[in-house]
Amino acid sequence: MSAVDQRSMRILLVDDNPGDVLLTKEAFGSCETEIDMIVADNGEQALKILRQEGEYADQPTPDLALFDVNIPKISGIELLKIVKEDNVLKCMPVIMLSSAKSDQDVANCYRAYANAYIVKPGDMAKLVSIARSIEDFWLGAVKLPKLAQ
Amino acid sequence: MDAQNVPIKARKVPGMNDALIDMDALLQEKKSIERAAKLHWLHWVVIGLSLLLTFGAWYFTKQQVDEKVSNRFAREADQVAELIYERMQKYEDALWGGVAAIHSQSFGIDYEEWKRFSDTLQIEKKYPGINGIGVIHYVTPESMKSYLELQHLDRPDYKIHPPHEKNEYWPITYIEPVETNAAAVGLDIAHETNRHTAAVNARDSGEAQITGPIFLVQDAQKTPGFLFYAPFYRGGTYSTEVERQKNFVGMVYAPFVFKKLMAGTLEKEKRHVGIQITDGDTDLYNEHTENEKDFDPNPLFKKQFDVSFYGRMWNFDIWSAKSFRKEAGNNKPMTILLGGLMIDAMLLAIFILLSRSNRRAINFANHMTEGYQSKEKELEDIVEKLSDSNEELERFAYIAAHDLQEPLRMVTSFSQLLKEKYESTLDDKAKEYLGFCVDGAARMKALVDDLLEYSRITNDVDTSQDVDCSAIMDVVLDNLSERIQETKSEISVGTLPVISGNPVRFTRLIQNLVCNAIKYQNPGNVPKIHVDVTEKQDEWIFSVKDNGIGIKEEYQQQIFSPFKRLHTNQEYIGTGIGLAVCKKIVEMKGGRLWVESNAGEGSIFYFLLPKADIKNKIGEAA
Repeated sequence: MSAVDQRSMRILLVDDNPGDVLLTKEAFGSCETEIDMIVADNGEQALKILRQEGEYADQPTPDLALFDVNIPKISGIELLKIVKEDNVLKCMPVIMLSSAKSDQDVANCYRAYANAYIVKPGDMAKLVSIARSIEDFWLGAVKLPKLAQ
Repeated sequence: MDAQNVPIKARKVPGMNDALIDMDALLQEKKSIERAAKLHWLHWVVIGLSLLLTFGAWYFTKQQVDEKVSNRFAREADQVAELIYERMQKYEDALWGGVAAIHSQSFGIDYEEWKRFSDTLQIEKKYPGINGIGVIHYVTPESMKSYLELQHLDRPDYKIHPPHEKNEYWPITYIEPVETNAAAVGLDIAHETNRHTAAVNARDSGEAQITGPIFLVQDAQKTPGFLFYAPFYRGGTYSTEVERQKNFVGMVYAPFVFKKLMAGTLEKEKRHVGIQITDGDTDLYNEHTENEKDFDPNPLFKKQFDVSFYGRMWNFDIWSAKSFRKEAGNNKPMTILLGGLMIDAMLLAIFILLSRSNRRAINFANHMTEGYQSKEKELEDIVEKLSDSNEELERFAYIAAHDLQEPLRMVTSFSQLLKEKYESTLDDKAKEYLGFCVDGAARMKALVDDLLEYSRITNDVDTSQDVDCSAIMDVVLDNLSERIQETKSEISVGTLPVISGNPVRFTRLIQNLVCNAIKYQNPGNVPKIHVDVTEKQDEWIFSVKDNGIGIKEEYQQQIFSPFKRLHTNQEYIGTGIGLAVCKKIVEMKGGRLWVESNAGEGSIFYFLLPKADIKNKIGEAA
């Protein structure tokens, strides 16, 4: 994959299910790009990371975010809305993940300016292929803005 | 979770609104019947009129009867006077008969002749009521001597009495029968004014006259009586008073005891009136006394009238007697009144009974209605509960299936990951176990997916749109192209219409049926499938015909139940949801899905869709 940027990419994964977190990490682990995956298991933590608050002050902002729709405290869609209303953060691509393929959910997410909506596959091979697609497109084909600069 | 996003539609119970409309009509009917169950003003009018009629009839009849009775009394009263008058005329005739007898003798009548005449009259038999019949002569002082001599020829003891001051004498010469009138023989009637005045009147008028009330000398009981005179003259009758006085000879007379006259004239038993006859202030006859058996102290009727009798004025005072009440007692008005009142009472009773039985019927109907209403309410509640529980079940199935997905994904993914990464380190047994794990998870995923799909099928008419079935068929054939090529299936399609519905659902419906037709085949058999439609008046009947294994009749109903399978996964892979999904899709459109099949001879699956929800655009589609 010559198009993929050689530098490491930072991805924020917001998911409260450790199984899914592990599976996602495994899937992205098979990518050629070095992925620096930072995980938050709730929306508040995710916002802290994104806004580089508290313990995350010194950490770089993520290049891409993966939000599970169904997370505790602040839901995935609410989190998406907060991000997309934030002048700085809204440039960051957000990919929504969900185990449901409710048309309503899908529509709501895109209305809130989600950059993509992906239904979590029940198959490991499919998950790996999705991870590679994300890598190919968002980390290779696409030129992303530099946040907080 | 997004369970709240599942479309939920409360199902209407067919016929419920119709039943309510019927209830309105029933309530109207009930109101009118309830009005009829009360005593209406019309009832009272009928009873009132009937009462009026009764009293009218009673009054009218009473008037008639009273008039009749009153007439009867008047008749009886008049009859009394008439009878007395008739009687008196009869006596008058007898007196004039005496006068005639006297005239027939040239030289006056002697005692023997008078006796004979009197005997001929048969007084006691033919003239009851008079004491006898006699002759009075007018004697002047000059003729007294010759008169007495003449009398002494036959009756030496004959003498005139009592003495008086008048200068004329009116002695009773003969009286027959002499035995009962001995005291009267020789009585000079001039001695007493009453007798004398009437005698003078008779002489002067030439007519029969009666005296005022007197006591007869021969009546030992001294009850009222009178004398009846008929004058006679020398040489016949005269027209002037002077001539009469000049030629006056004497009078034939009859003494009356009034009691005897009345007894002979009017039999008490045959009349129903009491009589009082007075002459001036003196009673001639009086039945208005307590001693009278038939006396009625409060008579129904009274009548008083004066009748002129031979120079006297008699006053008749006639009262109805007790027996009159009995005789005249007419029960007709009272019978009419009582009968009418009884009829009215019966009428009222009938009205009351009718309205009461009406009320009872209404109460009964009310009970029935209450029962019906409570039953209907129960039914509504049950339907609502069923509907609720159905919705709950659907929601539950959806949520369960939805929530199952995540753990299932873990099992599937990690078992795959395990297999991928660590298979080389596992022994054969562990590999076999892991194989079951992966396979089980995969099948469970298929089941959960199907279950989710099944529970998602709801009656969302909002998403209805024109669906070109031919285009749908193309999509289905495309979706199944791999299977079709694999199995070398021959699929033919008739001309399909454009219907109204959800294209995704219709695709699923057709695809499931065609997929089944390809799937359930004997090994080695080339599937031949024909999809077609038959148009009916109000509906389309689609058919999917195959040459597959067919379905035994006893299973033909079961196959439409969710997760009902006739085969093992080794024979035919599947979850058993496909036909259930088809059935639900068809029924949600108000249609019907069924199969005609013989085991081993293929099957035809039919589904009927009503046109009401379908636009007939077969021409445009073609």
